[in-house]
Amino acid sequence: MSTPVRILVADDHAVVRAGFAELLATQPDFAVVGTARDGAEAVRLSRELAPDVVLMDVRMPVMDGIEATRRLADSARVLILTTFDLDEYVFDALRAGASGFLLKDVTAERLFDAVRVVAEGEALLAPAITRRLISRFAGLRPATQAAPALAALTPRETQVLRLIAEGLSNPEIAARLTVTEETVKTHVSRVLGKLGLRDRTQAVVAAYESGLVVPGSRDLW
Amino acid sequence: MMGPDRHARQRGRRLPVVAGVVLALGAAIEAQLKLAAAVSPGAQPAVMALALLGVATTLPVGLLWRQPAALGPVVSVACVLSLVAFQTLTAAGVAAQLVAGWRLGRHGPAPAAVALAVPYPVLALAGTAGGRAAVYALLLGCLAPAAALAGIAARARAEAAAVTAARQVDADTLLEHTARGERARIARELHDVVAHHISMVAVQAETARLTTPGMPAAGAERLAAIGDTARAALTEMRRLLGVLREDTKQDTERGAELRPQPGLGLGELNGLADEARAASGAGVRLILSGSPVALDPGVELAAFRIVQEALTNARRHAPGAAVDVELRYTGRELLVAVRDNGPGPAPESRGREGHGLAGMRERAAAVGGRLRTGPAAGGGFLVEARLPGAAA
Repeated sequence: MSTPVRILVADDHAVVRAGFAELLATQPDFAVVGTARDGAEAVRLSRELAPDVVLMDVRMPVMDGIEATRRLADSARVLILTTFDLDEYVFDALRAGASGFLLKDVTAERLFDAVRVVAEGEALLAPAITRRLISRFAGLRPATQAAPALAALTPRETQVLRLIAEGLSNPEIAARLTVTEETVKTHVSRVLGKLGLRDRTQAVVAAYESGLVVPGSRDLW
Repeated sequence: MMGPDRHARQRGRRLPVVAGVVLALGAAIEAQLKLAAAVSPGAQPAVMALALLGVATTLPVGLLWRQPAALGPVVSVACVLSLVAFQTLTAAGVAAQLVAGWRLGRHGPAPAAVALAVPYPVLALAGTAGGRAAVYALLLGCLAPAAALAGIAARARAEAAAVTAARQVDADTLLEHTARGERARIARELHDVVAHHISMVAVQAETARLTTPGMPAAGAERLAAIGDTARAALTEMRRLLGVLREDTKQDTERGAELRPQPGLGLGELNGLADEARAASGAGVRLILSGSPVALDPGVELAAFRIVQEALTNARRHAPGAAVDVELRYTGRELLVAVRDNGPGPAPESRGREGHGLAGMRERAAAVGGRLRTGPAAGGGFLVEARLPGAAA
């Protein structure tokens, strides 16, 4: 195993902070490097400790999780902790650059899986729920930031982006386009690179906000 | 649904035209009869003019029904002209004048309606009209103002009714608005406070399960059950919030998506039974008879909640007792019976009803069903609900 995933837990409730930190510490491939009780502390500690993944509560004093995510998104992958999924706050956090979200009442096993998925950045966390969340809220509000320029993408890359937005994994996209998984990986990393996106979650947000994918156009559930 | 209504409206629109034509025919015939009675040579043109005037007093009722402001003056001028110039009027003309006066009072300017009734008392009192004309003048002098005033009064009444109705709508809207605000407040509270605490229960259960050194397997299992229960509570709460928010949300599309899917899935009932088994360690049997059909979602939800509540009660009051949950579909109704083999109702609790039973009773009543609770034949406690089956 390579170096452990460095994790920071930010939540204003001590129970959550301590509980998640203890749970994560039981895993040999995780290292909890710190905990923060508000968004500002999370930003400060992240600069200092350089975690790979930050577990971030949304509502915190001093600075909320959305603002903290906006400031951190370039240096760490943010996993939002929420009481409710399909929540407007959660969507705001994804727009601010979060890589995924997690219910606070998650089982320990799913928590570990989620952190690994986000740390690797290869797959979309909870594809069905993530897509549904984004499609629900993306169309309802005008984008405050300019939609990324999709013009830079080749037709094939645009196609791949559309399939990512549908929540498909690399093997699924490969099967859909009848190409190898390696080819898909190349396309995905080109798409992310050209659009300046960090991971698949951000690609889904971009696909909806640019109008490439219209909410409800291909409802699979 | 639209058909009969539209026919009625069309009939209503045609009625004044028919009335106008009938009155005009009446006036023309009456004028012809007067013509026969007064056959003096040279009177021919005058009587012809009288017949035309008779028609002029009556036909506008049909033609100008929708313009009371024009109808009133036209009829009045023709009537007064008839009385003054020819010393006579037709019975149909009198009727037309009364109708026109009422109509003007009901829908036109009130002063105009009164003003148009004024010439008749004046004519009657001045005595310029003689013979028959005096009788007509007197008749109209009494009736025309009365018709105008009746029209004005009818309008005042209709306007008052409209104001009352508008106020009622305002009051209803305000009430609805208040209720929505209250629901939104409850939703926020549930979201911010209650759900948070239940999340904490789940987090702590998981943490204790995995991080307590030397945790025995049985203890870990119990903690896992606590975590599962907390998660189930949160799932229920998410549904509940969906219901509460549905009403408070303007966005119908979003509301529809958040609508929970109530339903008496057998899988869900099995889940309930499994949960009860795991929690009490006692036997819970699910007995199904008749042919299950999809019922009204409200009925299905009520049935689900009644079973849920009855199982909770059984666990609380008859711990360790075996429970039979029976669902019997008879077509006309769904019988839900939950029976345990515990000690039955405590003697001192007879006649008093806990929140649980009252809640079940309300749920049953809300969908048009009945609930019976009490000692089961052969011991134990029985909750029996009869809920309406397929919608008639």
